[in-house]
Amino acid sequence: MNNSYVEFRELQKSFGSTSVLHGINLQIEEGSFVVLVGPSGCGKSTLLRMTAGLEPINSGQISIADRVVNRVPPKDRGIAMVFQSYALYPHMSVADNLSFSLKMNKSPLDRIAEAVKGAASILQLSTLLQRLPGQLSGGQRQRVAMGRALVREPAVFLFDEPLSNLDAKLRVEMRAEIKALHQRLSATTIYVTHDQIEAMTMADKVVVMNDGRIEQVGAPLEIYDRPENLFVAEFLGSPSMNLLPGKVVFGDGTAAVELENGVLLPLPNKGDLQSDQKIIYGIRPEHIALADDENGLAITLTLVEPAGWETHLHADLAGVTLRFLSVDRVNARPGDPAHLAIDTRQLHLFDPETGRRI
Amino acid sequence: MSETLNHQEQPVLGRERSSLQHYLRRSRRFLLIGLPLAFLVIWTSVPILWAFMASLKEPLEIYESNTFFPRSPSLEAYQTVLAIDGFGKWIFNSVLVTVVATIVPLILSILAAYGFARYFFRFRHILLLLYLVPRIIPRVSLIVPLNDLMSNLGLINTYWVLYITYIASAVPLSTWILVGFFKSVPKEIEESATIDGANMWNRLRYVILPIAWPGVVTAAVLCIREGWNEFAFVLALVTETGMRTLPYALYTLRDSMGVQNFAVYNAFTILTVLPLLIVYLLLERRVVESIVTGAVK
Amino acid sequence: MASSTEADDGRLTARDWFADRATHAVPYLLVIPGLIFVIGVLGYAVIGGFVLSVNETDMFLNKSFVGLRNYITVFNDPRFQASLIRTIVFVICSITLGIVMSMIFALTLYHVGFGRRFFRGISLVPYFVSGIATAVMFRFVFTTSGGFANFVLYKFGLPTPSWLGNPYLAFMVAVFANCWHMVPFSTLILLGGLQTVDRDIYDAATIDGASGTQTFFKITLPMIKPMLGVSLIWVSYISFSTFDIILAMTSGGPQRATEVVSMYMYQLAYLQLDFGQGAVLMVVLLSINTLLSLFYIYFFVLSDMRDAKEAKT
Repeated sequence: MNNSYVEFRELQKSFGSTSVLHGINLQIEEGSFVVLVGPSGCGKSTLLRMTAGLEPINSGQISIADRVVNRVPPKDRGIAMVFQSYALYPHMSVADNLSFSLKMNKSPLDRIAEAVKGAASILQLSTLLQRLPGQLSGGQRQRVAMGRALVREPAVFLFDEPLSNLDAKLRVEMRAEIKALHQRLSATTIYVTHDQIEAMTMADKVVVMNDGRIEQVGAPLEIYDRPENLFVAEFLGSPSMNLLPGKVVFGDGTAAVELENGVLLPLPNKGDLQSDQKIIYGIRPEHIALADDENGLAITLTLVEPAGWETHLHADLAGVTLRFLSVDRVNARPGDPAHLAIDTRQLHLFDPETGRRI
Repeated sequence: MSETLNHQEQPVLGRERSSLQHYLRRSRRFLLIGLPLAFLVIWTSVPILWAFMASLKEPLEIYESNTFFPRSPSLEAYQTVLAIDGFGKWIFNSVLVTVVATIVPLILSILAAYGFARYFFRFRHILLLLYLVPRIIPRVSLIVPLNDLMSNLGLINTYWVLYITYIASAVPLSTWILVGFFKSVPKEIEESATIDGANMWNRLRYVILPIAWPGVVTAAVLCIREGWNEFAFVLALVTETGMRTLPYALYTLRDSMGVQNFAVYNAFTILTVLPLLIVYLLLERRVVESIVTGAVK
Repeated sequence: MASSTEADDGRLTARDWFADRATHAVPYLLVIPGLIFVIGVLGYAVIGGFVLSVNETDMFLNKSFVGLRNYITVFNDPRFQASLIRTIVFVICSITLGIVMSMIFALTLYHVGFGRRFFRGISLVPYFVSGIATAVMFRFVFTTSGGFANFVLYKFGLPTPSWLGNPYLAFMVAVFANCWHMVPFSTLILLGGLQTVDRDIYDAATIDGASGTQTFFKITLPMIKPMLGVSLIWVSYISFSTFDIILAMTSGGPQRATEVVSMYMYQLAYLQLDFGQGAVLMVVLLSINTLLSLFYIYFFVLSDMRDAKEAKT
């Protein structure tokens, strides 16, 4: 517990009578890039704002660098924040935007100039210092927002969905830039997003949140490969995992999962499973492939979406829709019959209530 | 030039019609807009222009009124006005009262508007209502009780009575305008400033006011307008000629001006109107914009 | 927010407690000063007016309570009744003429292609002319000999009446002057409303085959209803409170043709020095305005909210 740089302990938050965060516990190591990800309304932004000091805490504690900061004003917490809308001061030049916080703290002028120059060169803003935010492009404004945070030399960087306002191409670029910055500075970063791709590509540690609770914490691939519950399983991965409700049946020496429509799906080993146990069969689209032979599952293709590098397909398995991917070009058309093979090593089984097995 | 288009399919701009139709349409449109526009301009400017012309004419010419433009324009009337005993005092009074009645309400309403815009406190709605309801009260109707009140306080005939009443009248309107403008400043910019270490005064000075300054300008112009043009309170609460403001002075001229002084009368009118008009025209854009965008209601 | 030297485990200290109270007090501190002025002066005046209306005040401002006697006197006074009727007629005429004119002007300003800024700017000018100056100018426009109106009429060979000498004509002139003063502001509000309408809707209407007039009445008007409401409210208030203009232009004449309630109030309170009755008239004016507001609020705001609620379900 003592090597955590930022710690949330039993945090609760309500707005009026609506409870938004229910008992959040989290430890964040120094220098790590932690992404809070989840659907809209799950409380991730609220959590971030509480860390910044913009929202009061109802109960629980937030500590930064071993200091409880519940009642410490934002400017003294050692944080800096990049907002979704960048929140640049529209009437001030880039240079003034960058130096504002130092001015508020009455830093000596030469220190201010130095800091501004430093931040500007790191973020390639040196030629834009006299411009107004209105004259900058989206990506440039992003960088000014980050520069403003840099200048404060904070202990913790807070990002609130900073890339949501950018178009797709710019988003990819800025993702790389933010990550590069993090690596260069080794600064503790808490990053909020609803985009799971951002989470997967940028994070050292991913925190999946839903409805005011933490669903799972772990490294990106860890969570991807072993989702602890249905929510995480479905949330990560695009297209999302196929989740098929059914029950376990035992045959002669083999086990299978019988879906509601009677189709049997293969089960490699039965472990602790009981017969007739209700279960949810989860398999990711990339682990289903078109099979050449007749041994696979018989399906009818319903949708073929070529996306360039891969093809997304929907198949109808006697009333149940399966999503899967194919890296090779597919010549089939909707309505064609085909066969699928499932890589049963990548199976995820869930109890219809929460947990996971195997 | 034949009609090739189905009537049902006329595009709004009539681009594809034949040229004659196009011309007819354009001239119809021109008339439809141009006539009311001309009427607007004439209607708005005639009273002022007429008075202005009259101020340049000789008195007899005005009376006979068979010309619009003066035959031999002269500024004599204006010289007479400026020479009227007490004119300087009246201007001074008007300016003084207007300045006070603009600066003080502005300060008060900036503070109040900031409070309403950014803080959520228990009695917010009630207090805001208390600020806005007074706008319903016709100022005229208050002259009766105010006279009574001010007499008891011994404030009749002082600058103070005007200051107090003007400020009280101006604050509601000013606050209403500013609350709208302050609210439109994105909260995140202020939050960023808070993180940067700005306290409330810093935020007002460096963030809110610079961004919302069109609102401040509009509120200022409207305060100036009310201070400069106000009449009923002066009528009721100020009895000494030396303490009068311009509108009242203009009013009293009514009976003391015979035919030979019409030019002077008009010149006086123009002079009372001019300063405020100049202020307006300088800041016209902001004010018009604000009203049109519904910030002033 | 407290300083950063609170107890290490985050428990509240006394200093924190005070800091909390201070933070909560801030908005009140911001808001109260202005309120003191507003309620202090205006509120006091309103209450004072009510008090005056139930008292009889003599020259030395001594009051003696007389209950509703002033009210009875006033309401039975035929001069008052006449002035009330005149006021209502005046307001109705002003509203009608005013709203129609502002609507036309707003539409014109909306469609104008060039010089927008100029025309909008110029249209607001009358708003900045004081009531007295407006009255003086209109007097000069409408004087029997020497006025612009007759100047033009004479040129066209039409009769040149004595505008301000004829009760009916003088009333009309008062309405005109009032409109001149009010219309600009109302025009801009309506213009604002017009601009909020999505232009695509007009295109859709054209495709549906609506003519210009139909578009206006069935689409434009309903969509700017809130702005219309604001304009109506504002125009009514101003018209009921008209005082400066009438006083300076006709003083209530000729033969009381333009004596509206506010004029009569002035007469009673300042020329006859009967503050009690004058105060009654003040109460009357206030009540009318309040009733009007309630009516408008109900009509425009509440019905909008009701529509919105119904649309949601």
